[in-house]
Amino acid sequence: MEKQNGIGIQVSDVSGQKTHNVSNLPTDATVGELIQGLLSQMSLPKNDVGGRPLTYQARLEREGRHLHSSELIGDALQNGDNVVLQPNIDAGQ
Amino acid sequence: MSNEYQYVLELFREDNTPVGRAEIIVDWEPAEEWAKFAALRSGLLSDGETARVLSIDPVWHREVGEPLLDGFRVNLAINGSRGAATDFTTDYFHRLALQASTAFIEKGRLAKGENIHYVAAAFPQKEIEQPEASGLQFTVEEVAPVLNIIESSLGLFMENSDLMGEARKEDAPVFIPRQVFEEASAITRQAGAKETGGILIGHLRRDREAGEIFLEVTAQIPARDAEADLTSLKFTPEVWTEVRAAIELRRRGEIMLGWWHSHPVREWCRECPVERQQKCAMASEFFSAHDRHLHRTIFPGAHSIALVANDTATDEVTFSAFGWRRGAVEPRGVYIVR
Repeated sequence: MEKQNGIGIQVSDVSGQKTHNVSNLPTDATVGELIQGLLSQMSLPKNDVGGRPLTYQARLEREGRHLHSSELIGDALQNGDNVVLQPNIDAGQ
Repeated sequence: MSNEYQYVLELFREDNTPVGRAEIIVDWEPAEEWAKFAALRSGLLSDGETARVLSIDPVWHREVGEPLLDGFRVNLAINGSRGAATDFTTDYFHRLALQASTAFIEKGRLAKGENIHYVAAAFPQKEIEQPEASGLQFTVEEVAPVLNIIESSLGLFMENSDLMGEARKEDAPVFIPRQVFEEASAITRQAGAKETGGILIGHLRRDREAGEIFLEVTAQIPARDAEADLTSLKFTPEVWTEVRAAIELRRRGEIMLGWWHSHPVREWCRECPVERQQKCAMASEFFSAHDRHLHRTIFPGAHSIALVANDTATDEVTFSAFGWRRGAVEPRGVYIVR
C-alpha cells in the first residue's frame, strides 16, 4: 500500500456547493498558505468587486473554531478533518 | 479542463465604426455550472454523480467562420464516461463588453453614453511558458455535491402557489412560502436605514412524472451577525457559522438555496417624490455589482436564487427575484406558496 505523505482533509465552501478532498498537505505549512492555495483550486474569487483581496477564514468543524492563518497545518489539523472556507463579503451598492 | 483559445471582443459604435479590440479573461464557471445543472434537469446526470468539464470549445460563426463566434460549447464527462454538452451564445460576454467599453471611455476612444455592440472571436492560445510551480503543493480532488433531491409532485406545488414575476421555461421553478416574504418584510422594516438580509434554505425536488427539477424554499435564516449600513451588508464568517448551525439544528436535510437582502430605497431616494420612487429602477430590478459578486462567490450553483426586499416609501415592502440563467444572474419569477 502506498504510504500517504502529509495530511488529508475535506474542504467545503460555505454553501456546501463545492467540496474537495485535499491530500498530501505538508505539516509545516501554515493555514494561511493552505487557504490561498485552495482558492484557485476551488474556483473561489480572491478579490472583491473593487479588486481588493477577499478575506477567508477556515473553520475547523471538529473543534468548532476558526483557525488562525499563522497556525501550522501539522498542529491544527488531523487526517479526516472537515474545514469550511468562510469569507467576509459585501452585498450592496 | 481543456480550453485552447484566447477570446477577444471587437467593439463597434452604433454606426458600425470600430472602437477597438479587448482581450478578455472569461469566468467560465457560471457556464460550467449551468451545463451541469442542465444535465441534472434533463436526467443525464443523477444526484451524487460527478460531472467533469472536459473542454470549452468555440462555436464558429455559421456564415463567416473562424475566428468569429456564434458562441461556445461546454462539454461534460459524466462519471468518466457518457457525455453531455451545452451551447451558449455570445450574450455570455455582455458584461465583459460593458467593462471593455468603460475602459475605452477612460482612454477617450468612446464617448460616455454611446451605445456599442460587439462581436466575439477566438484565437488559438499562444504557447505560454508555464512558470515553475510555486507555493504550497498538495493534491485536490473534487467531490460531487450531494443535493438530496426529493421525488415530489410539481403539480401539487403549482396548485397551491401564485406566480410573482415572469416564468421562463429555462428557469427551474422556485416555490417560496408566503411566510418567508412576511418575515423578510418585517426584518427589513425593523432595520430601517440599514440593509439587512439572510440565507434561504430548503430542498431541491424532482417531479416524479415529468422529471423536472424545482426548488422549495422552506425558511430564511436571518443574518444576525452581518455588519450593515445604509448601502452595504457584510456577511461575516460568524454569519455563515450561525446559518450552518441553524441548518444542522433543524435536521431536515435542508441545503442553502440562496440569499436575500434589503434595499432601503426610501432612505436612498429620500429626496425623490414617492411616485418616482415607485417607478425607479432602484426600487425593483436593481442587483448591484457587489450583489452579483456575492452571488457568484457564495452561490455559484446554477439553481441558486436571490431575493431583494425593496423598502420604498409605500405601505408594503416589495420583492424582486434573481437567479442564474445561462451563466448570467438575471431577474426571474418565483412562486409564492399560499
